[in-house]
Amino acid sequence: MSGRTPPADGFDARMRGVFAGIDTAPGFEARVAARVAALEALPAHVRRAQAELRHHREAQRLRREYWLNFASAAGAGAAAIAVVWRHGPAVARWTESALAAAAEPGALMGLAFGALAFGLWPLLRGWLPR
Amino acid sequence: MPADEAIIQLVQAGREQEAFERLVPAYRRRVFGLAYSILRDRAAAEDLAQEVFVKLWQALPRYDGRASLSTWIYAITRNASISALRARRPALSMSEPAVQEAVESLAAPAGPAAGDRALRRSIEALPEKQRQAITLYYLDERPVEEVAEMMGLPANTVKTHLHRARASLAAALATEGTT
Repeated sequence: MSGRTPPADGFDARMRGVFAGIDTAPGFEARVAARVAALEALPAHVRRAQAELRHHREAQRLRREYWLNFASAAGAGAAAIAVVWRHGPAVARWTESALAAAAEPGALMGLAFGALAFGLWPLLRGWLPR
Repeated sequence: MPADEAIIQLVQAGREQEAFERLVPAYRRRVFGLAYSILRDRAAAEDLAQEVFVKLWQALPRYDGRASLSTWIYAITRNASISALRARRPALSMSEPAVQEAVESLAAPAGPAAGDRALRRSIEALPEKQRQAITLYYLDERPVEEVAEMMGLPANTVKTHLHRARASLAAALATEGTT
């Protein structure tokens, strides 16, 4: 699918029909202008306070996200440690067999090519046909 | 886009008011469409589009031109839409697609419109990114590249979403016998 799909297609016509008429109500720009004017009419100290509140909320949101990510990573790490702790011999056997399999020349080559393709993906993507 | 360059020049010249007066009509449909594709509610999308323009008015003096104007506006719209979606209360509004669907099915007799209702239902059932891509693609007949920029995704990814969405919709319609 490159650019537009042929307009003669019946499916496309039906899809356009489904989305026809979905738009903002008349007077949208006037309503935006009124909201901006109302904002500008506020005293400078109120606008400053509002801006500070917005920044504060954004900082809070980012902090929450940071702690959530940290907790997720810590949880995953703790779970991995718990698995090794409780099932150490089984994990060791599995790791050993996985390492042995990966040490096969074919598997090593495959891994190397995979890693190369992954590393070069940003470059390759630009060359792929769209 | 030449309109963007004119807007940027006005911002750089400190003429934010004029820049904003050009920006709103130039981006009204795109900001609304992007919000609608995420929120799936016309009234909520319109309200959010207004909020986005107010945010743009506040942020315009700080626009430094590192990202293209459209990329910057789409990023603000996406973030605002996602925040609104998270904050949305579970209560259904009358303009929710599901409610509209129910009202239409009660009011309209079976006929050609029944096929469109089935199509709408199938669109609503698509995975989020596919639904968003197909909405943006058909809402204003935008090229794939622009849909990709609006969604913040590579064009090839959007093509895949569109291809899968069209295949799912065609299959759903064939199953319901409405094609």
